[in-house]
Amino acid sequence: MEEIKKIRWCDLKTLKNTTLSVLFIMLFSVGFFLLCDLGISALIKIL
Amino acid sequence: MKDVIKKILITLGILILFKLGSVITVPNVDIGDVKTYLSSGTFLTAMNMITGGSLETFSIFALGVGPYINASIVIQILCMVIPPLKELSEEGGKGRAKMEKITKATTLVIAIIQALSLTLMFQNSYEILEDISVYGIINVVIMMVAGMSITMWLADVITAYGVGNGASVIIFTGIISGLPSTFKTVYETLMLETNGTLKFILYCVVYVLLIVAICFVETSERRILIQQSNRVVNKTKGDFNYIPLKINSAGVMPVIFASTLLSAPSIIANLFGKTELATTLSEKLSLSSWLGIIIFGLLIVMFSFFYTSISINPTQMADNLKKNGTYIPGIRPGFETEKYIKKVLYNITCLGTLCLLIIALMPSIIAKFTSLSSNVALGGTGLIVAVGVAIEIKKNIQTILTNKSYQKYGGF
Repeated sequence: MEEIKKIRWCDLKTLKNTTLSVLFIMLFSVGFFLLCDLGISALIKIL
Repeated sequence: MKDVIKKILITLGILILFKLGSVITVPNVDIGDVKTYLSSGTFLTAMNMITGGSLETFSIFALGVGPYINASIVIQILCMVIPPLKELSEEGGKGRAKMEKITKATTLVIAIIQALSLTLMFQNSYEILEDISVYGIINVVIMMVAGMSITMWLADVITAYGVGNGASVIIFTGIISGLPSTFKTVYETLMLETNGTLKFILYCVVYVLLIVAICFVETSERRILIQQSNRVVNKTKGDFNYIPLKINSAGVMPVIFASTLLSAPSIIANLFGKTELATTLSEKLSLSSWLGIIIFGLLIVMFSFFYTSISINPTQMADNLKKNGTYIPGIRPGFETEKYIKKVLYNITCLGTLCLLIIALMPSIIAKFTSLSSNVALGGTGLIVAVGVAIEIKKNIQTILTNKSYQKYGGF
């Protein structure tokens, strides 16, 4: 219990920035990999 | 900024190569309906996640970075048991390079065993091989091991010239590639129920909240105040130095280790065909059963403490503090400092592991009480890994930018 009080919990500003960065990286990656899959499917059809 | 863009482009280029390799099925293999089996939430679903989604096509990259993860676990355990290995790991740069070589050699051995067991397992269950002679099987194993070596090389290139840790980025690729289909499955399942749209929105909100919770745990830390013996500190100005200890020092590794180890008994049992034991193990050790959830939780606890003990060494920390003439206020340098750091580390690891357990097990437990499949629950475990890697990538980009601006102002 004593240790919990001593922990420096993440402040709201850092949490907001980190969450937004993580969401951006994840959404960007989802879009990028969807494009990759589309490109690969098109390539397979052409070949 | 140019440097960051270059590193990001290199990473994306490597990932395109990885994606291309992931659709090339190993010659002499007919995958048939393997994909349907893998998406039904079995123990192999976890393995498919670690391999970056390459297992469902039985591609040349089907082993992914799995053998490397297994080899790391084996070597780190051996380090604790074999003293010469422990000494080697503590030798600094040269020792670490040697350890890396040993790990890679072990990776090759594990890759051969894993490729052979996967091939035999899939052959026994689905008859995927066109040529079932010894030559045909050896051919498939060689192809898979070669594919794993290429994956490891791609991961190394990302680590050296791209952003983030290569092996983690490859795993990240598999998890993120599966996200659209996970959300599609959830949408289709929930739409069959009453108030489906509302439930789907609720699912999305819980998903985002889970991301926020993971970010919260990952960025919180325990600061141990330290003081230089020959320096006067003005406490009112907040003029302190400190050692930052992350609540979850082990990061996402316990979850990856636990997933790998949980699937191991089922893989071994399935080697001998579709026996009763194999079916029972596959059912009981999946995240859709209570036994699987409990064992998964226990493995996470075990690996959290194990990985923290490997990554943070209190004896070395206390020693370094003493050498630098630094001390923790109120604590004697040396043994007492070591004891104090150990105590703090143990306490915060308990808390960090509890947070990790809640985040890792919550989706599986929710799935037990709702109509959602265990496949979706596994998406929750993958989420911890994905968010962990995303935070690592963010920090890596920040470090590159900070180093660049430091160099601009005359630093080295």
